[in-house]
Amino acid sequence: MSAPAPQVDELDTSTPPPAPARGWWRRSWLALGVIILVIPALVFVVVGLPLRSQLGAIRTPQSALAGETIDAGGYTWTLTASKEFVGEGVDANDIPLGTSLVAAIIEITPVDDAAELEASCDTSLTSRVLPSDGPLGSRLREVSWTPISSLSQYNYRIRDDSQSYCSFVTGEKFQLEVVFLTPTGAYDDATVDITLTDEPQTFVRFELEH
Amino acid sequence: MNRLATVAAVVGLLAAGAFIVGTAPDEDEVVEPFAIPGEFGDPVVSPNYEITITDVRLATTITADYALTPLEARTSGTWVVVDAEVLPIANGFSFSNAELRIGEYSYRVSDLVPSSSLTSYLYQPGVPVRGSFAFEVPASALELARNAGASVVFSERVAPILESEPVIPLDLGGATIVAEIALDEAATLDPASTEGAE
Repeated sequence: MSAPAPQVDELDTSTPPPAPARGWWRRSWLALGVIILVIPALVFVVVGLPLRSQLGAIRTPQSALAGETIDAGGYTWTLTASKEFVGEGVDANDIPLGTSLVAAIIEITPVDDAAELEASCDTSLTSRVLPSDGPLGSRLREVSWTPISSLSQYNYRIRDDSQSYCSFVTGEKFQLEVVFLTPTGAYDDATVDITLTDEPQTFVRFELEH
Repeated sequence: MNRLATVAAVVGLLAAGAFIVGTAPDEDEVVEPFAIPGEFGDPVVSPNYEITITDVRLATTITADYALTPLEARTSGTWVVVDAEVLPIANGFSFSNAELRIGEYSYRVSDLVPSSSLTSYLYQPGVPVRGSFAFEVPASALELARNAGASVVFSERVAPILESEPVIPLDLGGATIVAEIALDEAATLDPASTEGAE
């Protein structure tokens, strides 16, 4: 009985082994392709879409000085008068000390068929600078007030040819008179902002009379 | 050996997952509002307003003569009247969901008080207002308040989610119950008399 011949590893020299890098690419190209597609899509959904929505909500108003006319949304808009009534105390002029009534009159006229027969608008008074020593301190750079409805409480009476609510149903010209209660001093840097309720892109802004 | 290590790793991961799931806050806790703790008499600042509780009074009847339809509301329990000063920072908020919490019970602010009250006021930024909130509670609530404490919570919605919510403790045990409290209409204050909190 003869001893078994020692086993010798035989190298197959006819086909060289594939390069390791090439094998990794062959196994991973599909996963890499998926990652390359999915990650940008994920970033677009998580960041891009909300950002696009927020940027779309930023509206630029058409601005004008008092007395000038803006043509927007099928109407012409003109701020014809504005005034600040400084509070002297409830016992003196029914307006509390430290506050002011700010009144503005805006003439609104439909100019063509684009004007809706039934429409309404939202009005606000916006101030971008407040007295640094005021009750709001320096916390706010821009603040808005909504029109007050209890005008008789402050002994304010709108003109006979005005209306205090922004609603036009006949398509005819009318005069809007809005009144705001603000801290005294807000008038100096304030504007009246008006937006058509159903068309937010129709956004006009008026400087007040000084 | 490798197989044993794999089994141990899987068991360990499952145990870690079970621990995380077991100790994670539930959905209500995740979205619960952010309480802003305050003190009686001190201004408490939220993003939309600054509020200071100035007094707490107890009565069996509240009246409001300032309204077109005067109010006279008597209860078999107790009216808790909370006087406050509000400095609005923004507009578009209201106190219609304010609550008085006593122990585990919550009592919504009464909507019987006629306009203008702090509950129905149309706040304007920078224009401070003084007025009252009224809460109707059962007589037993005062005894509970002595033991468990009471606080007034100013939520802006019925179910606030991740919002700021001032919470101010009240001492109801120290107040005496009077027969009647006449509520005043919410009134504008001179802004110069109200110091803004910085």
